Amino acid sequence: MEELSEALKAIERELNFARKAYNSIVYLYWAVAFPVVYLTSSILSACTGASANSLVVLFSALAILLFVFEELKASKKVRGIEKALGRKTPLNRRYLLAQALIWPVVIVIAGVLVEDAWLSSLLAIGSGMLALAVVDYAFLRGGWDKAIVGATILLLSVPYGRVSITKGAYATLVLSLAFALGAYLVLRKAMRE
Amino acid sequence: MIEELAKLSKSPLGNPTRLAIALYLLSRERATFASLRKALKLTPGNLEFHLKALEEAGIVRTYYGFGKRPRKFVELTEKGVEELSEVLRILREAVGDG
Repeated sequence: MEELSEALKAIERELNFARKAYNSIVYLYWAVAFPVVYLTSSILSACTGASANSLVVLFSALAILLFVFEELKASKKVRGIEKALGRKTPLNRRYLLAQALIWPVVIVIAGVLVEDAWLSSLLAIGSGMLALAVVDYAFLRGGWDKAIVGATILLLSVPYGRVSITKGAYATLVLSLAFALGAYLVLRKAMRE
Repeated sequence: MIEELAKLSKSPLGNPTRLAIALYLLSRERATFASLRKALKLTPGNLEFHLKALEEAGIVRTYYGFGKRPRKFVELTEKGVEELSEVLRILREAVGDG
């Protein structure tokens, strides 16, 4: 019986690690997607003469669609793992609704308050991540990782326009760095537990 | 509890090898036949035998993907997740951790 207990604990540790690895995918995805969208748009714009901003919008929309597809797969896996761990938390509709409402609200507010498209994106994503952290805290008593990502983006928005690289490159760098930091922290915590 | 443990012995995951296959697949989107065989140190015939039983019980799904050569993929089904969760629940309760 003691061996069985140890085996179950080992299984639980492995499954917990897998669950956290899946949760870090969201950060890794965007850490890669932002530079890919920016570089692809810049290169295509230089080669074809098409508007770089239009290409950024187009590729961002594609990145969001692919993200939704990836996220659905990952969340299905996480739900399965949580169920096997005996910690199945029922899908809270208010939680999902709050998460879905945050993005249109922050995008509209940042768009109205700030004219510069890149700065507006930084402020929308930074404040959106902070708002997601508040929602996570209210419903799940978690969300520290989202708060760190949001705060990093907002803090690095301060020197925006005052550095010797283009605004688009700076915004992309900040977003990629913040999301890579989020993934690093989530995985580091999972490895320590 | 004895009744539940008896139920476990009749479950498609009552066999340790089949339980190990399901646990391996739970945290992965899918696995190739070769990687599963290597990870669980099984012979191809042995793995094929257990996969056939699991597939018949609706616990796993196997399919072929094409690259340079056809590869067999295995993934856990929704029913497999349900069954595995139930087996783990019974085992947790048996050791008094449920």
